[in-house]
Amino acid sequence: MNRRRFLGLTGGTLAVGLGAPAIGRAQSMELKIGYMPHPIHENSIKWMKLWAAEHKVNLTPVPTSYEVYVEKMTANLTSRGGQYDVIWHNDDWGQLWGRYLEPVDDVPAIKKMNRFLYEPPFVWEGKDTGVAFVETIGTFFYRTDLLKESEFPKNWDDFVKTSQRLQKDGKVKWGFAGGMKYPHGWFTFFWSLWANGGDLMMPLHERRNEELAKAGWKATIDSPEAVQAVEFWWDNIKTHKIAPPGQPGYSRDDANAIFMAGDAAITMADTTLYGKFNDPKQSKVAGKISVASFPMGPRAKFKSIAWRDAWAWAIPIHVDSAKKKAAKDLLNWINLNEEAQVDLWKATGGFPPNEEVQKKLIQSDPVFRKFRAATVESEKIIHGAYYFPRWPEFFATGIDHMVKAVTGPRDGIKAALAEGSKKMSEIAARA
Amino acid sequence: MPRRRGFGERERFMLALILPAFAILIAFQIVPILIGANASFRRWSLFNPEKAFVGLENYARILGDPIFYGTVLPNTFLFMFASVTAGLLSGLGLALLLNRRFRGERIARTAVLLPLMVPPVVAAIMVTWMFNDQFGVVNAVLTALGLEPIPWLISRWTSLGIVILTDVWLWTPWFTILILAALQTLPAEPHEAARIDGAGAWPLFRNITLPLLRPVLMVCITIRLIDAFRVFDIVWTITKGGPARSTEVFSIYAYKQAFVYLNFDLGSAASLIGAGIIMVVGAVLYKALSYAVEVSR
Repeated sequence: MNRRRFLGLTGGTLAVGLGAPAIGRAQSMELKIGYMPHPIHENSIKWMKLWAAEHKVNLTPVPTSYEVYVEKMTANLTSRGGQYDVIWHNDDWGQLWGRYLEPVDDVPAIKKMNRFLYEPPFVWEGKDTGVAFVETIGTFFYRTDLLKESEFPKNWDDFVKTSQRLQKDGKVKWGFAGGMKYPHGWFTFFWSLWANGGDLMMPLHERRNEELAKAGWKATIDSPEAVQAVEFWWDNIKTHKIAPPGQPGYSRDDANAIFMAGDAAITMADTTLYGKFNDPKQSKVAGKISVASFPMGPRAKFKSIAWRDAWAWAIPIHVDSAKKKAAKDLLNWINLNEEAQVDLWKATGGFPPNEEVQKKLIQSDPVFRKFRAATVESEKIIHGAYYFPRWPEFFATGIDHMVKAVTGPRDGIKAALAEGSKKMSEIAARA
Repeated sequence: MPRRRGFGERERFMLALILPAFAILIAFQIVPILIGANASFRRWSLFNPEKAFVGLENYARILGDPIFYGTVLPNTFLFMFASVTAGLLSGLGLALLLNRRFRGERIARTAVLLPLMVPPVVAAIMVTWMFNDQFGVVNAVLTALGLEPIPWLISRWTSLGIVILTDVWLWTPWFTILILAALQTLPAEPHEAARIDGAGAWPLFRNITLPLLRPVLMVCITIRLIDAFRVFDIVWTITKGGPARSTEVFSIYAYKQAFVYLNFDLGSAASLIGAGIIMVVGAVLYKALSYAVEVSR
């Protein structure tokens, strides 16, 4: 083969190679779904596949670990990468990604959902940027073979005494296990902070950025409520020994594993994990669990409190218009499909976002009623995150200082939290 | 007739052959470095298109960050020296043991190489489970011996120790194989002469073997120190820099700035500061290596 022929052949092969995908694309539409491997996403994707088969769309789910999800998706959105046509959108990334997402106000199913889920997390410049596919609400799971409903602790003092009693009777290794390290602090630090009348920033329970700015972006993990909450964990781990000593290093998965192995009487997690905890193939405590409200702290300002947020699907703004339309049709269909919405609840424990379906479940399903009573029917409902762009750094800094406080000497807790609060305020003010 | 200027067919053919590799080098090495360098002089967040020029502000923030100079740099240098020293000593010991004739010699050599075939992330996950406070084999052994189980991953020093141990386990075979190859090429005469003069095993090793191995040892140390400076995978898998950032090393710090906190500007500045540090360390090591080779001639 002479050189001219070699170059010609190489060029021709490259041209065919580059052209082939375009020919393939012309034949059928593909929707690539960026998601985290989790029972909720898997349930939603199961229903997406049904819709895709009916509409002759190729659906390609692309899993990404939670640990790297936000950085991976942010890089994809900012580089206008073509890796995804629909992405999982957690409420606490709302302001981070707002400008890179397609407005979805024209998806009719959104009108069936509670607006609290959308404002402020999924609103960017007055437009909705995500279509919720589940409500994510934290709750306490406990072993019904160890505790009757009436015995579940209502306050922190009871929480410690009940745990110690169960441990002393040799019924369980630990009273409680929960995720603690970044980004899993909701399941220990945050719920206890909120149950003790505190919050991460001033004003209390405020999530609108304009109001946070007016208050000077003031972080408050050094408040008396927060200090007491971290002392509560320090005592639970080191003095009362009702929680594992390794808990400051636990992710949600570590704590779930302990609960599902039958080694903890109580854990705190999203309701969306109910299906997993109740699956006999994965869990030794399947069929023996129920839910309850947060045990309240000594400084609590309300009788009960819970957070209520949503996970949504979103569409990158740079996706082509035909795919955007298909994606919107798909997301609308799932949320208006009663069978899909009920299946989500039955299979996972996640609340379907369609409120009409929720009303029917309240009438027909006593377990759903119990879940609602333990969570969204609490006296005070808040959002579980903040919605300014520097939230990831703010959140990580807060958790790191809480972990530092809980792993250090007890008399150093206040100083560690004061240092953390100062840094968090500086980070938020840079927003 | 004047000679035609420019490239002939032969040169064009050669250029066509190297063009793909050159394009890949430009696209995936040079351009990202230039973008990163540019970002380090700007206010550049992944979520915000604003890219105002801020001069050396990002460098000043990194160098003034107590976490960077108080935790990250000490951890990085501790990791480098502890891991390389332990790996070198273990590798040297194993190489000396394997440099003998014994039954099962081939099997032993193959077995020693096994960790080299394990991807670092897999090894790190395995180690994380071994040291898990509830389900790990290490605590199971401690409990069986009547000792209290230890929450290994909630203190700086035990966490860092586990990371170093994992790195040593992964890299000892690499030292072993290189040192063993060197041992087998050493001249026999100096050893025989020393033995005739009545030298024992230790003086023989200290005064003959070790000086002859010096160039190889220095190459191993130089390569491994530079490599250990940029360790990421095992630290990220085992501790993610925790608890409370206490085991962050340089690459974790830069990664977190860029991709967890989404401060692309600070992450880029940290990376370039790290590049500067490793260039200085590399230059010193190169000098030491040249000296060692010169002395051993």
